[in-house]
Amino acid sequence: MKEIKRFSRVQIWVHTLLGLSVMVLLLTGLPITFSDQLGWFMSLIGGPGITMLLHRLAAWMLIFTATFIGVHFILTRTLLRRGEEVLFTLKDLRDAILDMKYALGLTDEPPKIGKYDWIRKMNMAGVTFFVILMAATGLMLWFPLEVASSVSLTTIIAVRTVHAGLAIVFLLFLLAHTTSIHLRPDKFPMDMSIFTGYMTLEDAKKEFPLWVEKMDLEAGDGGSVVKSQKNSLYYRLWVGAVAVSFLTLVIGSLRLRSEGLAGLRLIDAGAWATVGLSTALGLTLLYLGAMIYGQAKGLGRKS
Amino acid sequence: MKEDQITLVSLAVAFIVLGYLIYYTASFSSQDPGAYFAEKSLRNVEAAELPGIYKDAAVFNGKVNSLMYAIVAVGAILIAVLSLLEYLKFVKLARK
Repeated sequence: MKEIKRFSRVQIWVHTLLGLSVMVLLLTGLPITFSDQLGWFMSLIGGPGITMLLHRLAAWMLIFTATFIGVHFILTRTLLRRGEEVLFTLKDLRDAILDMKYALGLTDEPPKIGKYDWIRKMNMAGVTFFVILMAATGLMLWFPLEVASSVSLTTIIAVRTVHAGLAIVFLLFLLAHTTSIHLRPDKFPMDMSIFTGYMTLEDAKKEFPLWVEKMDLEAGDGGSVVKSQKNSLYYRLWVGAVAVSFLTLVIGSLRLRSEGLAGLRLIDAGAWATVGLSTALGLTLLYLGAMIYGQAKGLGRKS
Repeated sequence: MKEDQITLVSLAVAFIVLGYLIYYTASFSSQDPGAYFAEKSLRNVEAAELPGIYKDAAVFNGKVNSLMYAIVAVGAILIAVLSLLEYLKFVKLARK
């Protein structure tokens, strides 16, 4: 079974640091925002003081990683003229339409894609957008007294509302990212390529044919490792948990209301909100564990 | 510049930013973060007392709330629909 290198060490570590920091930020930030529903988790990890401390440590990690990626990308683009594979082109728009037609059964063939398809590029663009906004609003909330000298109190209060609202969208984004990239039915329980850096040539030919063609690789000795486990009990349980979490979060998002200065809150603090948010929190914890496991396996792999 | 050098320069810049952030944060060590940022109690105080004092802030935040409400709702539905389509695609691919 022939394997090819898909991700560099830098990409692997950046993904891990980003994932860890974002998940810890969500795990600590959501109980603060929705303390009525998720206060139990805050108590579990030691109360509001510890929760906020962890939130800020994760924020350090996120800002460190984001700065690294930003500088690395700019230098790579300008000095080495590389990295164009992550930029959007017109082909991505055509691929997106074709992809949706394929999903809906309107065409028989999915689009042929290069190293990164439109959904991966959207993921990368989405993360960049969210990280910049969340870091900027988070820093304003972190140092309100310092910011208050140049910004009005009205703005600082509004920034907290924006930070909380974006966090909910970010949580949905995380669920969508793991669903569409990592925990797919054909890769269940998880796609390891982002942790090991390698994937089989057979899989690469199926998923990223244009990338393989570009690399001008010879055909390998075959032997696909892709096995469909879509009917397994664990896979069904996972899909069920994501669906419950997603549905309640979508319904919950529609039932958010303004409380003047208090910011976004849920109208209904009943059991459904607690179950939905707790399921989302549980899934995030599961993803955090899976990421640590994946990274440990990746480190143990001989390249 | 080679790739390793780019990585080193990027790491150096990231560490400088992180170092500054840690230094800046340390200068606030006299504050009690647990008490200051106990979000729930802060909110309750604001919700109970501040609207009367900062009416303008409440009105502005109400508008921002409405905007965020729309962003969250549209974002949630869009992400849900896209995820469902991706899921359908991968189920089809897995059956192939």
